[in-house]
Amino acid sequence: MLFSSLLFIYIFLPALLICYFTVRRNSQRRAVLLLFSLVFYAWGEPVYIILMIGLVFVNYIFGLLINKTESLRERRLLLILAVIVDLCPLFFFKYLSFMTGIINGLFPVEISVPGVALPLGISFFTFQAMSYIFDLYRGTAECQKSFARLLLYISFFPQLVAGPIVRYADIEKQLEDRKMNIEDINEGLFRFTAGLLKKVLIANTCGRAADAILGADLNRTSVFGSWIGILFYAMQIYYDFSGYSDMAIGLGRIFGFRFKENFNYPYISRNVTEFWRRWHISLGSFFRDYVYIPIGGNRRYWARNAFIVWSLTGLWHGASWNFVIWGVYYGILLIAEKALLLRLFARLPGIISAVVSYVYMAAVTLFGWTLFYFSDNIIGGTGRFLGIGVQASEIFSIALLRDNAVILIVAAVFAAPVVPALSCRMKKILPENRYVIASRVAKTAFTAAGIALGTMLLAGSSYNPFLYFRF
Amino acid sequence: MKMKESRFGRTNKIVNISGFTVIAAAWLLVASLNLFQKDRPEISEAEQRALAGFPEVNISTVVDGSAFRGIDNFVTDTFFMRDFLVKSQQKFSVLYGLDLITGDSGRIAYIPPAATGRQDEAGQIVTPDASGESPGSGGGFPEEAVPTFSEAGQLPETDYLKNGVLIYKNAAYSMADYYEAGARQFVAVAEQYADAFPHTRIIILPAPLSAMLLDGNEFKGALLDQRQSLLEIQAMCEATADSSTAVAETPGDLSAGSSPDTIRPAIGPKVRFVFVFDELWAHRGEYIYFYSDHHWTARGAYYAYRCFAGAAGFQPAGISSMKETIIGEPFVGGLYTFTGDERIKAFRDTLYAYFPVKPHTMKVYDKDWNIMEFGSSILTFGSNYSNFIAGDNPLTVINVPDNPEGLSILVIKDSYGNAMVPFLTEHYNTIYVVDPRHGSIKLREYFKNIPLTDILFLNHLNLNSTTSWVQTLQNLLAE
Repeated sequence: MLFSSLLFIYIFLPALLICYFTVRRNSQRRAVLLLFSLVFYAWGEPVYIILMIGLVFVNYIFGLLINKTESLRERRLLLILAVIVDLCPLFFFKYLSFMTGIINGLFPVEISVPGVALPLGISFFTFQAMSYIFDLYRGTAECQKSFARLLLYISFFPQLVAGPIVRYADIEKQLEDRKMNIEDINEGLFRFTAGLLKKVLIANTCGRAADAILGADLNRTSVFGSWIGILFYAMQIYYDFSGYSDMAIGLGRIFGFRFKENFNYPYISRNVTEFWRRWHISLGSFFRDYVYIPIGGNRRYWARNAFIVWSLTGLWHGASWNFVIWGVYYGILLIAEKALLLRLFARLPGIISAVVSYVYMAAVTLFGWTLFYFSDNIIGGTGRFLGIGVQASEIFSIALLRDNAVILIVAAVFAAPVVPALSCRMKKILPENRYVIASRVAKTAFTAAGIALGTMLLAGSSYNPFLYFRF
Repeated sequence: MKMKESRFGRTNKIVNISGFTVIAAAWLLVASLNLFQKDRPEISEAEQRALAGFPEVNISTVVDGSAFRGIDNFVTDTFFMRDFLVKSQQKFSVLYGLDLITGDSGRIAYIPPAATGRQDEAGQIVTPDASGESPGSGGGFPEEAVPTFSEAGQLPETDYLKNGVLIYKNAAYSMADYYEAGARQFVAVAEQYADAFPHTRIIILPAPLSAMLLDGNEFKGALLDQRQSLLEIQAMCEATADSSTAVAETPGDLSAGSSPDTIRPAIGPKVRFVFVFDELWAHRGEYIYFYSDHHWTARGAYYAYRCFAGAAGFQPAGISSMKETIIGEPFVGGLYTFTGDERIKAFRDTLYAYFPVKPHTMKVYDKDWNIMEFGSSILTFGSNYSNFIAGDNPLTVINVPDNPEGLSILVIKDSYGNAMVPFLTEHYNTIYVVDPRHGSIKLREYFKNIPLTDILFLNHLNLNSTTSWVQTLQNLLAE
């Protein structure tokens, strides 16, 4: 089930809210959330829900065992075992075919594997399950004695299929008890609406434009068209994913959960290091805390460690060479920045440094997205951006740009922290009380109008895939 | 101070509660109206298509997830006031483009409805030629709709692209797409049909899209070369295994003579191909595609039929032998609803129909397998593309008693097939038409005791490499 569907907005969510607020006790509310979360997942994956529940059960058992074990060595052994068991389904469903392809290519063998569909959100819930085991092992979280609560943590529908990757330690206490009030509900609805509009208004429109150009025959796309197409794609992927995160955070808030932010205006970054502190924050911090630091972090072989982490980051996004190359590409850039580039930028005079940084970021980010987009023909795809064998421009890209220019401008404007800046300005102008009231009224009006607009856009829209579902 | 805070706290609480109440009430109202609405629509007039019905829910559909997807589609398609919302969305989407800033930037002239005539490469309005089957006398532009270039006024060069639709000068065009890998899948599935129906000829006829008419002008090279794509599919079909043993009892041969009597066992590829591009291109000056709709006209379909008949060993019937009729009033076709572009409203179309000579009856099965019976394959009420074989339906069966018994064809089609099927009544005794978008039928079971002379895949070119369509065709073969 998609958040941005009429079924979710007008049937699933009202039914859940009614049931949730009808019951009073925490345990009953948890039961309602768990039941609806399982229905939510089963709606998209009626068979693999067994896999998800099984994975949670395995981690529940490992959690109990780790909790009972005193010996550090045995705890570590259990941790390694749990991680291996967690990664097995992910490897089977996501990477087996890719790996056998590599083996078949390297050696004179013909290993064939059955083609299986990737279970919805497997990359996300696997990482959440591992986060529980890691936090327990490190002592930053208590062992969860209740299987139902652990199941709720991993299967909680707002973050189940496309993140953000909520770490167990961050949500542990909220699973037990949550304080919530009418402001939380309003704020949650506002955030959900903002995410909905990001998705259905901006991401879907940009996605259609990007596909029209980039998905066309390679020989018929111009250099200009390729750059315009990837610009639309850059906006699509940001608004798609951050919109989903907004909806997840908003839905969590409605039910009293506070999830951490997953995006913080990444496109205003002046270097790749900053970009990755602002983009998919939950994934970046997962790899930082559970992989990069344990293998040595900045203390020793930092370049090697960074290379490993970024290769894994690329691979996490998909079992395809283009994702690996994309990850390695960012790994190399980060290493280069740390070793040299950031110091070079810092030495430039202020305004020049800013201009150079932004031009550099625009170029590396857009080129990065070309690596990301072309999973089948990475050489042909990226070649177009360099003008290899194609014309400079053609009428379709120009027409497409003209017909979606306003959306592109809106997307570019709101990719910068315009709203927080305006809000800050208003806060300075208005007395605090008035600011709070005015802000609430404005947010309520936005929520009402946004849901109406979102409904209108969804009613006739058949184009609705969430990009991050495939990861 | 404490009092002040308390007053603020109360105000804040009231604002929050009021805001939530307003949103929740409106939300629940719409949710209830949607949930409890009576008589959910089954057809979208605006989109000219059947809306999704409530899916079959059983263990199998639940396990494979199709029941859930079906319910999702059903809720979206039959949402409360959906037609209004769709139209509003189309109007709203105008705001996405630069027109919001520049207004009507003079990129396009609004052509009066009567002044619609396609221009040829030299920019001249196409006029009927003198032959008996020219558009003027044989079904092209209405007499009053053939202005001279000067009468039509200045027609500025224009280009416009949205949802795969191009507006060029005074008509809207559907653009084509093609992927070799997808086309290979299509041909492979057609081969499976040949294996499943060993005594039946399997024929593919992809219909070019109207953007083919733009070949030869400034768009050449920028648009997909549909001719080349069709030739590639033809080569794939010719490369399919020799069917000489498989169809030893085949009653027909695509390369045979000109009447059913000359039909003989076939030696040829398993999957045969009918190439219609050149025939349509030769008649590009005629009214072969609608201006505001994504379909070909009955005249365009006729030329495709002529290719088919020639290749299938029949003497094609002359269009002049059929009664030409204009049905209903001029209409605005589906490309307006696809794009919401107001300019397309100016490109009015006229529905010409050519009534088959041989008497026949038509049974149409709807998605609930209710039967509607008609005395002709062309309806005379209403005025749009649905007049041909009563539109898209899961199964349609046409009986033509005057044709030899045992000569039968199964047409698996999208809506491009609708306009061509009536011409097949000239040759076949029984014509089965299946539109897999509108219902599922198990072909092996249904035709277990019904011999088929031919199976014809008739759809627009894009579908020949659309994986979901190929999958749908494969599903029809399920045991």
